[in-house]
Amino acid sequence: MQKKLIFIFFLIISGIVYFTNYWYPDGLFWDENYHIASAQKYIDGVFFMEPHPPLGKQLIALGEKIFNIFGLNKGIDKSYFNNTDYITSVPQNFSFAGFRFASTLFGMLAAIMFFLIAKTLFKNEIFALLFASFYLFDNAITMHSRSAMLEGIQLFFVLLSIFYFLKIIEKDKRSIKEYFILGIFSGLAIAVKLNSAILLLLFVFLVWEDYENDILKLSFSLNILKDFLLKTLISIAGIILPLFISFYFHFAICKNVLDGRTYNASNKYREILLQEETANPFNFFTMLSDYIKYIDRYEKGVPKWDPTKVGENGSPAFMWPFGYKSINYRWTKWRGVVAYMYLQGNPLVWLLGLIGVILSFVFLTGKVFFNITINEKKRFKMITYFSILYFSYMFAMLRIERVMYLYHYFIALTFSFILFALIFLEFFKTYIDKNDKLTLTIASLMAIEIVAVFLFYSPFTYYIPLDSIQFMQRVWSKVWGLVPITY
Amino acid sequence: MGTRSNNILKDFFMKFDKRYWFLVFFILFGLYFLFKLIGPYFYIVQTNHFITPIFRFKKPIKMTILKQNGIVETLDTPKNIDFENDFYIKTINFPQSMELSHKNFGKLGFSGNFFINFKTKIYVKKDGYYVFEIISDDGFRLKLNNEIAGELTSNRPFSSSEVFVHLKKGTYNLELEYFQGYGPCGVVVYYRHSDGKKKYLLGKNSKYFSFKNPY
Repeated sequence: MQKKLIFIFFLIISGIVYFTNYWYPDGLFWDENYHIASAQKYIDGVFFMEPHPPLGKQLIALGEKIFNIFGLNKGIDKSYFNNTDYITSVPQNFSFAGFRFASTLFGMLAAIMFFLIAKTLFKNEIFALLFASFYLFDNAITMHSRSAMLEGIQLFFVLLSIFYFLKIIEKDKRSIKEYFILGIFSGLAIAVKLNSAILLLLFVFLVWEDYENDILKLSFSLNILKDFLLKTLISIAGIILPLFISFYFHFAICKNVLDGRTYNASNKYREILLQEETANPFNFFTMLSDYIKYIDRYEKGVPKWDPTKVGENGSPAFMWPFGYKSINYRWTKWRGVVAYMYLQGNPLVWLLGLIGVILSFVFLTGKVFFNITINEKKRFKMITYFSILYFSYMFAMLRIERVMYLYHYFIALTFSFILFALIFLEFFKTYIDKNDKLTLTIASLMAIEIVAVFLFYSPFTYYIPLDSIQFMQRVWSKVWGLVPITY
Repeated sequence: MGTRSNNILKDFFMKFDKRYWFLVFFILFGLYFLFKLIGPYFYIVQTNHFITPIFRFKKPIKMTILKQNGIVETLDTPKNIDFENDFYIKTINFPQSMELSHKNFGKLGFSGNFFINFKTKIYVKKDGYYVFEIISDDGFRLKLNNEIAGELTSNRPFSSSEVFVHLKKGTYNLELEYFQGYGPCGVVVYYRHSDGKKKYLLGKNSKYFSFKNPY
C-alpha cells in the first residue's frame, strides 16, 4: 500500500510540474519554430525533409491532431506552417496545448521512468522517490520538455532503454527476446534524435555480461558464436524496426509537394512523388537514401561554435557539466519586470551529477591502479558502464564540429544522475538496508534542497516575471552566462 | 609530537563516518543557498519589497531609476516616463559598463535612455571646503538643499567633474540627478575634505560626513 501511495504521489507531483500552464507562453521559442512547422506538415500531408528522424515530430503532430479532434485550434488557418520550414508567428487565438502536449507528456513519463530506474537501483521506494527528484526537479529538462521540441520525447525513450537494461542485467543470462526489446526501445530513441545512438553501447555491455567468462578465457565455441550472431542480428533488427516504421509513415504521409519545394530530392524520388507511390514499400530505400543525404547536407551547413559572435548561444561540450551556456529562449518586458524562458539547470542537481561523475572516475581509477576494495561487484560494473556511457557521449559531442547547445548535455546529465545514485549506494547501501535514520535524513535534506532550488529557479521554467534584483539573485555563477534583459 | 598529532588526525578521519561528509555538504549548500537568497539585499533593496524594512539599514541613498519612453539627449530632456523603480543603496558606485551595473551587486537591467535621481541626507561634522567628484557617463546635476552646486547637462564619455562647496556643520539634503542616453553608462561619486587627500565614496561615513536615509 505504501509503495502504491509513493508512486501515486510521484505521479501527481510530476503531473503538476510538467502540465501546469504548459501551453504558456503563447509564443514560439527556440526550435518550436521548426518543429511546429514540421508537425503541421504531417497533419496536412505536405512533403518535407528535416535534419532529425521523424518520430519526435510525428508524435508532436499526433498531440495536435488529438486536440484538434476535441476542438482546439478549430477554424484557425495554419496553412502558413506548410509554406515554410521556420515559422515566425502563429495565428491569432492559436493555442500551443496540442503541439506541446506530446513532449510534455513524454517529459512527465520520463520523470516516472527515472523514478523506476531509481527504484531498480535502490530497491527502496523512499530512496527512489528522493533520488527521482534529480530528474523531476531539474529546471532545464522540465522547461525544455514542456515545449514542442524533441528532447522530452527522446529522454523518455532513452530512460526507458536504460530502465529495461537495468532490469535484464540483473539476470544471469539474457534471451534473444530481451535483446530485441532493448533494440526496439533504443531504436525508438534514435528515431527521435540521432544522438541517442549512444544507447548502442548498452548492447556491448550486455554482450560482456553474457560472454564475460568466454571472452576472458578466449574460448569461443560454435554455439557461443551462433548465439552471439543471433543476438547481434536480432538487436539490429530491433533498432531498425521503429526507425523504418517511422520513416515509412513519414514517406507515406508527406506526399504533397507545395510550391515546388522538393528539398533537393533526387529525380527518382520526385518521380515517386508525382506518381503518388510514396506508400509503396519498394520505394522505401530510395526515399530513405534521399532523406539521409538531406540530413548530411544540412549538418554540413550548420555553422561552427563561434565564441566571438555576438549573441552566440552555442557552447563547447567540455563546459556543459558546469552549466555553460544558459540560453534565453524567449522574454517579455513589462514595465520594470521581465519574464524569461531560460535554459538554466537546477544548479544543485547539476553539481551533484558532476560530483557523481568525478567520484565514479576516482572510484574506477582507484580500483584499476590501486586495487581498492569494492563492496559489490555488480555495482562496480554498473559504475563502469555508466561512466563509459557518460565519457563516450561527451567524447562524441566534443568531436562534432557544428555548434552544439547546452540541451545536448541532457542525455549525459541523466547518466551523471545515475552515477551519483550508484556512488551514494556504494557508500551507504548497508545503512539503507539497516533503515538508518541519518542516511534517510541526508537523502531527505538533499531532496528538500533540490525542490527548494527548483522553485527558486522556476521563474525561468514557467515564464514568471522577475525584477532585476530577483534576476541577479539567481546568477550564482558567471560561468552560466545568465544575462538580464535591459531597458 | 608530530607523529602523535598525525595519528590523531588519521584516527579522526578513519573514525569520521562518511555519512557526515554528505550531511556537511548539504548543510553547507543550504547555507550557500541562503546567502545567495539574501546576499543581494545587503547591497541593494527595492523600496516596495516586503523585505525592505529588514534590509534598509546602512543604505542611506534612495535611488529612483526613471525609464524614459523615447530618447534622452540631455538632462533637461522633457520626461516621458515609461516606469520607475526605487531602490536603497549604500554608495553611488556604478563603474562604466554597457549596462548599469553596481560594483557590489551587479547588473540592474538598464542600458539606455533613463534618468536616475539619487537622494540622501548628509550630516556635516566639520566646517570647511569639500570636493564632490562625479565621474559619469553621461551628465549630472548636483543639488545641496535644493540649490544647484554643479552640473553638466549634456552627454559625455566616462569622465570626472569636481564640485567645490563650502559646508557648515549641520544636515543637508543632497540630490544627484544623472542621465544616460546611449552607449556605455556609469556614475561614481566621491567626496573629500579640501585639506585631506583621502576620498570616500558618497554614502560611506567618515570623520567628515555621516549619511542618513532621506525617508
